[in-house]
Amino acid sequence: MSAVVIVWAMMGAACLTLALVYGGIWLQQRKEPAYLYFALFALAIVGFGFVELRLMIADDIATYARTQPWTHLPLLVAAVAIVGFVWHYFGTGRGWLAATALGLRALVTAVNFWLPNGINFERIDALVRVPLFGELVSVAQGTSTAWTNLGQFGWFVLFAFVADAAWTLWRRGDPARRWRAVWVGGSILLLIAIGVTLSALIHAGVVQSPYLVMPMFLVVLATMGQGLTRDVVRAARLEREAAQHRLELAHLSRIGMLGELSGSIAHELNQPLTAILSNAQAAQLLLARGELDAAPLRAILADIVEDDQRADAVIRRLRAMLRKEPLPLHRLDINEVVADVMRIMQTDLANRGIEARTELAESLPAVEGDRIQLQQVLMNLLINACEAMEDRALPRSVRVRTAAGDGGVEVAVSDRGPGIAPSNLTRIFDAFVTPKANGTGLGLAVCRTIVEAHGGRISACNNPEGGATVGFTLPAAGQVP
Amino acid sequence: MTEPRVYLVDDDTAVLRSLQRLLEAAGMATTAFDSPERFLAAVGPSVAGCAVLDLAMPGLDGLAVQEALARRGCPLPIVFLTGRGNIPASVRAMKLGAVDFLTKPVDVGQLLDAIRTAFERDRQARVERDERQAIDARLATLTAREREVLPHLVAGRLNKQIAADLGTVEKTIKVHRARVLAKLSVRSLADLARLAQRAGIGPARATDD
Repeated sequence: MSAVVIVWAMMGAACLTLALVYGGIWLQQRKEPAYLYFALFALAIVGFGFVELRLMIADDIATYARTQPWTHLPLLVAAVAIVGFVWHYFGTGRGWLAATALGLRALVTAVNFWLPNGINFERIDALVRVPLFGELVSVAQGTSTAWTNLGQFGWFVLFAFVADAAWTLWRRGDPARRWRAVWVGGSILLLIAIGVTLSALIHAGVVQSPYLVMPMFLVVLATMGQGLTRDVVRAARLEREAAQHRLELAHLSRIGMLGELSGSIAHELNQPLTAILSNAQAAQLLLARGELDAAPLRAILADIVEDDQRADAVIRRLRAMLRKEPLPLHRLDINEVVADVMRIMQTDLANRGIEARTELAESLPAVEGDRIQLQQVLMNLLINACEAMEDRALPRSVRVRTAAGDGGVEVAVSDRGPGIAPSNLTRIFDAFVTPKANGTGLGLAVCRTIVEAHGGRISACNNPEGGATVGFTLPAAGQVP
Repeated sequence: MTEPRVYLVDDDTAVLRSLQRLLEAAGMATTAFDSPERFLAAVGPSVAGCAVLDLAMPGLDGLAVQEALARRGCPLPIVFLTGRGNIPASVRAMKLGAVDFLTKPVDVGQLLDAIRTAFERDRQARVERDERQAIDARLATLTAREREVLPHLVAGRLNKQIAADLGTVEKTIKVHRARVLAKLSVRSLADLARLAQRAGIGPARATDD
C-alpha cells in the first residue's frame, strides 16, 4: 500500500472519529448546534479526502474525469458546515451573505453534475504525475469551464461572510470572544484563501499539484475542535466555581440561620449546663453536711454524666451545621429528620407563640442524603413560616406533613400567614428574591440548591384555606439519579 | 403557719431533677412540676413559699404563669430562671412583681438568696394579710351606730362635738366610745387611730368647724 493511501486513510479515520465524538455530544445535549456543524464538517472532510485520494491514484484520464465532479458534493457539505458553525459558534454573521454563499455553492454543485465532465474541466488533456511523499500522484491538465469562476466567487462570498462574522465578534470585545474570532475565524479564512488560490493556480496550469484540500481542512478542523474543547473546559470550570459559590452561600446562610437560632441554641446548651451545675452543687451541699450516703451521690454523678453527654450532642450538632465541606450521604428516615428539627425549634416556636403540628406518614421509604442539610432546609422553611405569621393574630399554627409520593417522599410545611403573591410563586426560590423587608433572599435559594443536590424538587403554593405551603420531594434511596 | 415551700417548674426534667436535688440538699421543702399547667392545677391561695419558674416553656411560658397566678389570687412570689438575658421579658416580669430574674446556669448562692428573699416577702405579705383579716373581723362586731362614731373618734373629737354632729347626747357617745375601744381591743386613742388607718378608715371631718 502506498504512503499516500495510508496518510489519507489515517486523516479520514481521525476525521471520522471526531465526527462521531462531536456528533455524539450533540445528540446528548442537543443545545449547541456548533457541535453538530463541527461533526458535519469532519464528515465532509472524510468525503472529500476519499474523492481526492481516488483522483491522485487515478491511472487514466477517463477515471479522473469521472471522479472529478464528486469533489463538489463534500465541498457543498463543508460550506454548509462552515456557515452553520460560524453562525452558532460566533453568534454573529450576516444572513444574506450566508445565503448567497450557500446558494452559489448549491448552484455550482448542480451545474457540476449537469455538465458531462463537471465544472472544473471542459476537457482533460493529460494526466501528469507529480511527486508527493516520495510517490507520484496524478494531476490533471486541461481547460477549465467558465463556471469555475462562479465557484471561486462563491468561495469569496463565504470568505466575506466569515470575515464579517469574525470582525463583529472581535468588536464585542471580551477576550474569550476575540480569541474565537482570531483563532477559529482566522484559520477558516486562511484555509479558504489558500484553497481558492491553489485551485485557481492549478486550473490555470501555473502550479502542478494535487488539491491537498484534506490536509488543509484538517488544520481548520483542529482549530475548531480546540475552540470547542476550550469552551467545554471553561464551562466546566465555571460550573465548578458556581458549585463552590453555592456551597459558600449555603455556609453563609447557615451562619445567618445560626444567628436566628442562637437563642434556641443558648437555651439548649444552658439546660444541660444548668443541670450539671445544680447537681454538682447539690453534691457539695450534701458532702458539706456530712451526708455520705452513696446512693444519692451515685444518682447525682449518673445525672451529671448524662447531662454532659447531652451538651456534647448539642455542640456536635452545631459543629456539623457550621461545617463547610459536603457531607457523605446516608440512608435517612425523613420522619426522624422532621422530629429532630421540631425538637431544635421547639423553644423558638413556643417563644413565637406558634403551635406546631406534625403529620408523619408511616412506613415511608428511606431517602439518601445529608441529615444536617435536610434539617437546614426544613428549619429554613419553618422559620419562613413563622415569619410569615409574625403579624397574625393568635392562634398561629404551622403544620409539617410527610407523605409517600412520586417515587419517594414529600415533605410540606404549611402556615396560616398571608400567603405568597402569585407573581412571586415561581420566583421565590431564586437568589435575592424576597418579600421580606430585611430578608437576604438567600434562604429559599439555598433550600433549592440542597434539595436539588439530593435529586429532589422544591415548590410553593398558596392554600385554599389561607396561608402558604412550601414543600419538597426526595427520591427514595437507591433512586437518586 | 405552714412551712414555706419552693414550687419548682421547668419543662426540662433533667434540670428540674437537679434543681430539686439542690434545693432539698440546701434544706428547702421543694415540690417539682414538669409543666406549668400541672403547677397551676396544684396551687391555691393558701400555699406558702415561692415559685421558681423557667421563663421559656412550651405551652404557657413563665410570664403567662405569673399572670395566671395573679388572676387566681395566689400571691406566690416568683423567681424566674431563663436561658438568655431577655430584657423586655425581665422588665415585664419585675413589673408584675417577680422577686428576681436569674440566668441559667444559676449559682446555688444566688438562687438560695433569691428564694430566701421571696420567702421573706411571702411571709410579710402573709402577716399583713392575717392582720388585716383580724382587724376586719373585729370591725365586723361593731354596731351600725358604733361604726358611725368611729371616724369621729379617730379624728380626735370630743364627745360633746360628736353628739352635736350626730344629733344625740354626750352621755350616749361616751358609752359608744367605751364599747368601740373594748370591741377593737385597743387601749388608747392612738392605737385606735393606727388600727383605723390599717383598715382604711379615715378621720371624719367636723361639720361645725
